[in-house]
Amino acid sequence: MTFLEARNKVLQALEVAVDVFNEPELSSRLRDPSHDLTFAELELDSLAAIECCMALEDDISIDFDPADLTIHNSINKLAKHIVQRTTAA
Amino acid sequence: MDEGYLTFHRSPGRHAWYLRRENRPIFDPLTKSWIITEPGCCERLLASRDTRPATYSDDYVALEKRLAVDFSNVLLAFLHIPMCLHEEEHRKARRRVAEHLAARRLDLAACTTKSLAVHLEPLRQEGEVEIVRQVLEPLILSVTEPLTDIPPVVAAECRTVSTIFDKSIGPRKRQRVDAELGRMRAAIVCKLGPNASEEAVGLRLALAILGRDTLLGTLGESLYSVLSANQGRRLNEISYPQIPPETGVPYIERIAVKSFCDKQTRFNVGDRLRIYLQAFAYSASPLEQPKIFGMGSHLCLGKALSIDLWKGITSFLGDIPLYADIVSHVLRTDDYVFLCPSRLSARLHS
Repeated sequence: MTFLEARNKVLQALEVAVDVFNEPELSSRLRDPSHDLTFAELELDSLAAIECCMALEDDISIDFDPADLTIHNSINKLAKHIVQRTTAA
Repeated sequence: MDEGYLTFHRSPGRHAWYLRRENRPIFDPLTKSWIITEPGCCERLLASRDTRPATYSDDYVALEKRLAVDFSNVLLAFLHIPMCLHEEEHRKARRRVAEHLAARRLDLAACTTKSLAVHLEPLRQEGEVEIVRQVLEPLILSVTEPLTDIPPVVAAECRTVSTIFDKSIGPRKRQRVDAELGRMRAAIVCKLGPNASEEAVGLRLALAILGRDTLLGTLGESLYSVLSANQGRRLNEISYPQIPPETGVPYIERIAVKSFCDKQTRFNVGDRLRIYLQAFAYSASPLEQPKIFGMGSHLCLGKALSIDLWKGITSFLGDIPLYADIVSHVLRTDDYVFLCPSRLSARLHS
């Protein structure tokens, strides 16, 4: 999986979990791979983090922990982590 | 990648940290918790009436609603785990567990003696032995059967139930925990009969959860600690400590129910406190070490069983004139609560 594909999967999972895509400015920043946003900036709470993990698990068929989102704490960092894990798998 | 205090309890540098004299509470933004690692502070905060257990049950209720996933087995178990309950519910649950243990004391003692004799046998023979899978897991599942009424063959397939306490694991792992608890629940009902009360079943589920990784972690890591510190000595030349030198339960989490101060640190209502029992294990004072099992109304009800098993294992090893070279030691890394080996291999030779 490429970085951009992984990044899109992270965005799709976030779209399920948090309501941030309705804001045009933020939405365009989210979709621009040269920008990065931390999950704290997106106000991802613990329940939303688990929901995001569930969406990723359904999509990629790998276990995801909220701890992954804590350690890889931004969209681009998590996308890189997903590339590494899917490559290793 | 910095996992910070998320995995501090299993980091190689933890021993050096605990040897520092002044360890004031630190707020860790990664875990969003206060990290309490000074033994005196741990003891005060554990006894404090200004804290309550983490909200395990409420979190799963919220998760059920949000994800539309059934966690009924997890929720049943949480109703019976004393350390997850507060005040009167906590007292009642402790009393139920204490009565259950007392009523089975003789069965437990007989089963412990028999299980030690059977399951420690691989340690008597020369060659390589994987201590977790070949010795400790079967020993623990066999010893706890009189308490849980779960046949070891069923319990052996339910490896993840103790991670019920882990807030950092994802939905799939949580669903796996619930499914495994469902299998255990069915086995208990099968043993007790269809009219078994939810209380009787929930109590046994709680004991199965509490007795598994806590014992595996404590005994496994303690054995690794003692054996690795005594490489080059025969097993019967080692001076074994009376109390396991490691704990599988490195910390417990409490929540401040009101704002309060402990010495110079102010905790606000709702703050999460990680109180490290590991601090007692690594304390230079032998008086502190038994406190790995907690104290007062938070004293582990399985303390006697843990110590009996530790003494049984070390007494057995104390008669074996073989060397035990550590071949591999791998910590479990897919959860964030326990200090627990996934593999501990040793080569036994004369």
